[in-house]
Amino acid sequence: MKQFGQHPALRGIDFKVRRGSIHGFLGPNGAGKTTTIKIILGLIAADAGEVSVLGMPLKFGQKLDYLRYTTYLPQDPVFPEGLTGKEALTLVASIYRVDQNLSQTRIDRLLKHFQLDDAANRRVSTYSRGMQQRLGIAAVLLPEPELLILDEPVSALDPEGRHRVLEIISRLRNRATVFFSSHILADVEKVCDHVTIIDRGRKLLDAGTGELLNRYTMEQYLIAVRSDQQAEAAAMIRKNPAVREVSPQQGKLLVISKPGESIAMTGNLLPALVRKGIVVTEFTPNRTNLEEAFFRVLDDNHRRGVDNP
Amino acid sequence: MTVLLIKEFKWNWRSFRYPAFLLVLLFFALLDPPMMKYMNEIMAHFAEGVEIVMPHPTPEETFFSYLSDVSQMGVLVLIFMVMGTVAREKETGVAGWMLSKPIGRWQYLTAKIAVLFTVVIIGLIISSTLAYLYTITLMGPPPMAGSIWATIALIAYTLLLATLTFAFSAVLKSQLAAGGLAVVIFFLSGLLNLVVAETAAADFYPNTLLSLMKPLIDGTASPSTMTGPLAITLLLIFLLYLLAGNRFSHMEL
Repeated sequence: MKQFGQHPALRGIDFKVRRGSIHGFLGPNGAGKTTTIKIILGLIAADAGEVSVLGMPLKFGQKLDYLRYTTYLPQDPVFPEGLTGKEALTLVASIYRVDQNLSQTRIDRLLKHFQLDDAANRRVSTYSRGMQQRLGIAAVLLPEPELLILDEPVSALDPEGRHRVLEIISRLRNRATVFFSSHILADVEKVCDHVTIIDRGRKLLDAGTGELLNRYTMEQYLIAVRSDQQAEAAAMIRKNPAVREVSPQQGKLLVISKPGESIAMTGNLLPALVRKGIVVTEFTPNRTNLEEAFFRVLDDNHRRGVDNP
Repeated sequence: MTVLLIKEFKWNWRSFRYPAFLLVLLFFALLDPPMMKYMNEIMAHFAEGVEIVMPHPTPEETFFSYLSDVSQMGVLVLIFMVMGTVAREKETGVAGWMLSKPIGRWQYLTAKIAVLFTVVIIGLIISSTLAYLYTITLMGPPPMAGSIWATIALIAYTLLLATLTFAFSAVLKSQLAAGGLAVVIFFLSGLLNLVVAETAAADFYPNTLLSLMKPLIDGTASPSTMTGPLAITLLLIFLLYLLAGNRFSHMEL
């Protein structure tokens, strides 16, 4: 729980991140993602609740042992003023006590990988936002930590940069734990094993990415009928108590069931249409993506809010 | 800790904060002795036709003039140098970035104040030595022991103002607020000194260190008169650091 003045920023969030997994942390702007991350890092205090990272408890105001094994990339990467890119990485290596012989090799490799080798001896303040984000990612990878906390790690990168970073994140699976927030849901879908969705300081969903996509795929069906029967079919489908929404999509009908009623809907809809003499030429689950699932979760939550204010 | 000390020194050096302070100290060390020596000639140049004869300044007065200028202008420059030490890093997010790493908050503050004290102490020792040597060259030697004690008094007072500004910088969100408050206290403490100087409280008032500089150089005050204000000054430095550190430890970044 966390309140800023009169504004409740977090109203009850609980989740576990499995070691070695890549965990996406999603939510619209102002949902409480950065606040949660800052609490985990001991930068701000929670009003109530407990946090444990790598088996070690968080005690605000005290030195946190787990930070030795944790790196953090803020949404807008910052570095101490006056330092060059190479010096900033050297500082990070020294803070995390990376072996001196190893650190220079790693720094050179990372600078090259993120195409910063030509700018290595330039002050970070002269870097573009994309370059600063690449340097920030190099900095979180440098100590080879057990846990990486990344707040919008690819927001300022071009498609090639994004691809490289996502590839690196994927390769960390089972070697480190990656906890990252992002607005780019396609990226999260590509790399995450698990997602937690929050909104207005509340957890809405915590599920495996595959499980989440399947759940929403099973709740959406595309039904194609003879064009002169489409209006009649739509009206009939709407009357089905398990159906939440019917909308035309590319000459077909996209039918969405009420949460948890997809089996009931699929069980009785097709026989009912056939009984009415409607010619059904297609009845298939509509493959959904994380973006659609994300908006469905938010939408369901808003509906619940309206129903139970 | 060494890593933090190096980072701190590099940032302050490259942002021209420390060089600016050192240049101001050197400016007074190199300007005051010739100014004092040639004061009559300078006055005559600016007021042609009017004969102004001032008593020839002594070496003691010349060295005191340097210390006095540093205790005013030098300290003001120092306040501007120190006001952003922590507050600016909080504003830009660098403090959060640093403290999301395995660095304790006390460690972070200690590195900053250690570098600050080192620069202030070394800067004042170097500039005072230069001012002293230049005074000898132009006007003869001021008493060495008294000059050393007066310099110690100036160092202690300067460190107190540096710690005060540092403490404001650590607990306030804005560097301007930190600097502004420190300047206000700097002037108020000077005004209060006019009242306190006539009472027994002067024996324990930090600004008495400045009032003692001239008598210490002259030899009209013994170094033991410094004990009270010096002890209180050191105690205040310690307490300010403790309070700022304690507040900063529980601050949200």
